[in-house]
Order: sequence, then structure tokens, then C-alpha cells
Amino acid sequence: MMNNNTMAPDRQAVLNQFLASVERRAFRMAQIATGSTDDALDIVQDSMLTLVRKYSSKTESDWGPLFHTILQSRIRDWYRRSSVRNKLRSWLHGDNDDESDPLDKLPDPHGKSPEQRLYLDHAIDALSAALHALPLRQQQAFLLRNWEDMDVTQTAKAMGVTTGSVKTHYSRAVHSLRATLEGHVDD
Amino acid sequence: MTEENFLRTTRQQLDESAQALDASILSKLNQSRQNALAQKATRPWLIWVPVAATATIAAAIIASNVLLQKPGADATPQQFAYDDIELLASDADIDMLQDMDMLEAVADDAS
Repeated sequence: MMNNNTMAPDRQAVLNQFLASVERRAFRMAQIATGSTDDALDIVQDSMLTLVRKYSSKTESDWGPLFHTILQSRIRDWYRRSSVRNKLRSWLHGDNDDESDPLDKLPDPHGKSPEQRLYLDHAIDALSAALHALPLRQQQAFLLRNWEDMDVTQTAKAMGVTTGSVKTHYSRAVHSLRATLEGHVDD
Repeated sequence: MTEENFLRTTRQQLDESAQALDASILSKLNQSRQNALAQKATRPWLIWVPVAATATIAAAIIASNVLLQKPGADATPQQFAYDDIELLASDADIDMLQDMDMLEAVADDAS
């Protein structure tokens, strides 16, 4: 096992770059799954710690699949541990501690008009809520296949299921999301 | 909308949501990444939770056995339970401990 003390500086820089490239999506996946910003941050941090501690010596091409396997495992663990209290937490209401954040009042850095931003926010909220409402396996299959562009074999490995199971969950997820989001998702 | 268009649109919206994360979350993600690279958890006390829980349970079992044992009395069921804990805490082969006949023989020898 290689730790920080034995990791070469250039290796650490490459690993830092890799983690920076996946952290936003990883956070969103965990946030969609848990409905909690704090829990999502904990899951991402645990995943990063595990990858660095156990797999930093692996080749760079291995890091992506390994990280997603760890991340999905952490999300499943969260599901197993979650109580009725967490299940009743309303996704649409979000976390109250973000409401007074002054950073929210800054202009949109992506150059969208307030109307465009509002429409997009609404569509993203609807998509997030629909994804959150899916059974976890369907949610994982959809996000890994469609968003992370993983093939069926990679997705099966990350989810810890068979390829046939991935196909079934993905198909059901797409069908369910299309039925739920009709009118929210437009070109 | 075709399925292909639907999937492309959802990908774009998910990308947009990841790009639009607010500064406080990005700062926390950056901190998590630096902690991971430095192998420092922001909540290192979590490591000790299972250890503390195990120690507390073990202490409670031992204390209850000590308090329930009458001075000068012969070996009671509680005494045997205490002996069992000692055996389980030793480095003895777990396969041997699973053999109840062997466990009873050891308990008899001890008494």
C-alpha cells in the first residue's frame, strides 16, 4: 500500500487532477441518491480517501472504474444505514442551511439570462427529483450508463451486479424517467 | 422527443447542475480532495467510534458479572459466562472455541 509519504510529487499531482475531474459529478450522484448535501460530501470524501489509500499505485486508467465502484458502494452503504427520518427528508425542499448563503445571489457565471436560468433550474430540479425517486439500482444504472458513459460491463462492476441486471435496471429507469419528465425535459 | 434526444438532454442538464455547484460546495470538495491526498479525514474521531463501542460493551458485561457474583459463592452461571468471555478474548483457535464439547471441558477444568 502506498501512502502520501511514499507517493512521488508528480504522481500526487496526477491523482489530484484525476480527483478534481470527477468530484463534481461524484458529488451530484451522491446528492441525488441521498437528498442531502452533507451526506453527499461525506460520501465523496470517503470515496476519495479509499481510492488514495488503497489504489493510488494503480494505473491512471484504473482509477475511474475503481473510484466509481467505491462511490457506488458508499452510496449503497448509506442506503442500508439510512433511517426512516432520512427517507422522509424532502428532496425538493433541499437543505435549509443553503438558503441564506449570499453566494447564491451572485450572477450566473455561465451567461444565462434570469429567465433561462430559472427554466434550467426548474428542469434540473425536476430531473433530480425524478432520479431521486427511482429505486437505487435504476438510479445508479442510469447515471453510470448515460452520464458517465460507462459500458454495461463497467457499470455492472461498479454496481456489483450482473450485466443482465444492469440492462434491466437501465431500461426501467429510462422508461420511468421519460414518463415522469415529459414536459420538463425539452430540447 | 426520441429516446436519444431525451438521454442527451438529461446528460446536458446533469452536466449543467455539476458545473453550477455553488462556491461553498466546491470549497468543501477541494478540501476533501486535499485531505484524501494528505490522508487526513476531517472527522478522525470516527475511527474510534467502533473501538469505543466495543470497549463500552465489554466493560458493561464484565462489570455486570463482577457485581452479580456473590462473595465466597461457588462458580455460578455468571462465573461461567465470565470465563467464556476470557476464553473468547484469548488468542485461542476460533475453530476450537466453536466446539462446544471442548469449551465445556475447559470450563470443567477451570472449576
